[in-house]
Amino acid sequence: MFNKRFLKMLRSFMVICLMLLTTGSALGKEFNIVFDGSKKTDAWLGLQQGIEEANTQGKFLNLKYIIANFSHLNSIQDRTSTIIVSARSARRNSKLATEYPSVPIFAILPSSSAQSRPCANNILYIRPSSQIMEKVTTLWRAENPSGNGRAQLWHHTFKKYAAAQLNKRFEKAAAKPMSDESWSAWAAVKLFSDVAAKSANPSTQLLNPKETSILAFDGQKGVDLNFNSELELLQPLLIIDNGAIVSEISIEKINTLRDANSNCETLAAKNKNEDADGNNHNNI
Amino acid sequence: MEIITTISKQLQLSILVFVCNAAIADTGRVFVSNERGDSVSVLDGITNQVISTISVGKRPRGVGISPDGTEVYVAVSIDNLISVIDPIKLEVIRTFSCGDDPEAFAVHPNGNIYISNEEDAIASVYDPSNGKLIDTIEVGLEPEGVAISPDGTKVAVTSESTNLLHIIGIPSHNILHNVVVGARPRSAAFSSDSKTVYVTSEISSEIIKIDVNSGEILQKASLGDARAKPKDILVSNDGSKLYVAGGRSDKIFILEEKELRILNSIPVGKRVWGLALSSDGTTLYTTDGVDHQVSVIDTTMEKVSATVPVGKFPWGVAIHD
Repeated sequence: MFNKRFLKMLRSFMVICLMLLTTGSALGKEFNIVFDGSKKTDAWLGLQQGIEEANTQGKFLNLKYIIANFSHLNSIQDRTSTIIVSARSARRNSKLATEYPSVPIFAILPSSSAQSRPCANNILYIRPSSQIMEKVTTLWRAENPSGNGRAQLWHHTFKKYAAAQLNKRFEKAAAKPMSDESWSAWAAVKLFSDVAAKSANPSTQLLNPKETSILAFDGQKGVDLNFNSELELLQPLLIIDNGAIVSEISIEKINTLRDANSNCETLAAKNKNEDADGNNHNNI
Repeated sequence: MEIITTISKQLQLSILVFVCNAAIADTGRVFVSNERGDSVSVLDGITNQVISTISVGKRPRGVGISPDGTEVYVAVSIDNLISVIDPIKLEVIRTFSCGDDPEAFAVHPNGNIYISNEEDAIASVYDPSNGKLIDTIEVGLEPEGVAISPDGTKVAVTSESTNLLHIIGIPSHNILHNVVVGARPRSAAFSSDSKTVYVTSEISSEIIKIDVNSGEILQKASLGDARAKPKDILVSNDGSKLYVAGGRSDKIFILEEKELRILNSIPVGKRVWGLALSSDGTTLYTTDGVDHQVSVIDTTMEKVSATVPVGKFPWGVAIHD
């Protein structure tokens, strides 16, 4: 009698355990991706592509990425699983960085120069400054006097390193070619999801990018992309001339064009009274 | 009852493996797909001369051989099909559709083909005898490398853009483990006892050793060469060494299996991707894409014994032995 009752209780207990386990695993872990920018931009399309792909990976790892409304940022309890992808001005980023110091902010619009960037350890720059882009363009033109090429992050005709597949996926979903801006937003989410796949606390990892190699990620550019000491993503650039890719400029070559004195502390003093914004995107 | 069914299935599989192996017709020919030549170059395995070039369709990549040795399969990516070549007559005898953008594949001991369909993010299973689709398995973005365990009970598929190795059960086709590996995993190879699987990650330039049953990463090794973008990987016949195609490093890396230490590297042609090892383990063939050639390596001497010009951008290679 006792045995029968005991077995029944044990069976019920096991069913409950199984249910709890199943429910727990089905819930998985959720990450909030807060977009700060206009939904009418390429950045928004790139972000959506990134989230679509992050969730493709996430379904195998029980991770889920959701777009959280910016207005809900304050109500998000778990800031360790939240990032902000900002398509706003440097000044706005600076304010966000102060207001949400534990949240990594991916700045996806170019700043005019490394010196014009706000000094914050939670802003990660996906794009080189406009100044670097200009320097790369000038260098290439000096080496190719008959050319009229310009430096870009990305191009919709890029095929190598499985770039063709990314371009194809993006064009299919967004009905337009992938631009520098859409690549930047896609890259921010891809970088975050790559870290989330490897770490239980991705936001913490992102706040200490200099101390970890976990951030190295594949941006379909053929090399592991990582951040420099100024939290700028180092990446090869493309030279586009007459609508076609004519050259790829390596990270090493681009690094030779960087200012040696673009140190944050030095610049903070220098830029103290200057408008940090190098762009005119939706200033707040 | 379930145990008996499983044992019965394993037994059937073993019989199939035995029967298939017993039926191999050996020509020693080496089949090389030329990605931009839209062809397959056929090398004589003794003279290392190209004896035939067979047109197969646009962008041929993966190459494999049926367990009984009567057919050679080539994944023709742009045409979305598999071309079937007669290894004796050296002509395409039929083709069959196999989903979008087939790239790499592996042939199961029972004859079925497991293909990665890059654009659809699936692995498909086909019966090449009638071209029928048997099953599809949802995997990560841009699936590429496919390897089947020698005991026929598992298939490993790498998904390049989601940085995962999927270990999938056969015949259930359920995913048993999703293992997060380094950036852009390209290829996988099983140990002869089917207990370990090795993966190359192209962008992170890593070799990763994984326990098949638990899905745990046992070891990782970097190739320590900035240009090394590893692609194909093979295990030596005695299981003591791994051969890794180093991509843009233009080298083959030889690693010892236990600690994944690099023992040697052999310079070959530019952008080496494909590898095939002769059944006696003494000859390794590499496809050197940018040099449009195949390198033939004597694995005992660990030296290149011959280079053979083939078609444009050779990609995959398989030996009919």
